[in-house]
Amino acid sequence: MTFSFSSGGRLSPAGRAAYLGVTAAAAFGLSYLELLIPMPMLPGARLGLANIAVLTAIYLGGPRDGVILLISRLLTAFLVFGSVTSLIYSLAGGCLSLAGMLIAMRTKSLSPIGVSIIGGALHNTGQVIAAAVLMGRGAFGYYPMLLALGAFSGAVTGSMAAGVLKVLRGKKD
Amino acid sequence: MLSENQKKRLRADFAVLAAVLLLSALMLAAARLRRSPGALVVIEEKGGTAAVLPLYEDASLELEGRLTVVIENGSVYITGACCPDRFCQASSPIKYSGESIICLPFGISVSVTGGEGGYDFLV
Repeated sequence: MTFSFSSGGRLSPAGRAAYLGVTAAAAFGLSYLELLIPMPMLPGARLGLANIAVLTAIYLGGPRDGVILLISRLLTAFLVFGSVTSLIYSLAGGCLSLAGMLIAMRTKSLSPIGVSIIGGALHNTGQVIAAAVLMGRGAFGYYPMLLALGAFSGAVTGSMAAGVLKVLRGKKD
Repeated sequence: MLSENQKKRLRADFAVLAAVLLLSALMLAAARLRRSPGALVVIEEKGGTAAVLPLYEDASLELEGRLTVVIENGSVYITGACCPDRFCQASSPIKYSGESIICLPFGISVSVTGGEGGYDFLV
């Protein structure tokens, strides 16, 4: 899939490496940033800000970039925060979310916001399923709230990603 | 302004959001309607079930180095959490069948189960 900023032209391999590096760093930075925002009602829930970077990446570069971003996001978070259980939850949520978003993109009937809503909802769904596998059916008790929260935060991050995409793509529909 | 195509997509976005929220609300309502007083407290962790205690006997079970489960007056809550976040302690006490408090870092789930349905039939 071609990639071009508004100034036009494809990226060289070095340029592509730089672009992915910056986006991955942004994803990690966002992961860290969202830890500073507590959610009073549902302890432990997160906004999923890193999805802004993932969403931008898949719109600009397709599924492969999405996978690269997902893996780098999981690895950097694990290396820095060092929790295996956390990695498992994020892996489950991230994979389900990415798959869903790629499918949603394919249908071409949603804007990035809609894709992100699906991504957010699926991310939390994956996490709950992983938690249930690990510790039993008790984990499902939180699911209704997490599903709603995931969809909402997806709408928020999707809007932000849409703004980023508009800038990066230049004058395009 | 927005093109016709964009407007159509935004409408679809909104429909997706509404559908998900509706699903979520339905799940919550179903859980609420079906709730009944519990009878047992089941503590599960990664290896399997760690303990099963009666809900109506006051007790306190310390899971070494992780957290303490307290059963008091027919409700269950958690204290003494050793993780940095302590989200489990912030949860309000649970007492209905199906409710649970979970600890993600330690992989512990404390649930209330058992008990008959909410109504008895008088003969």
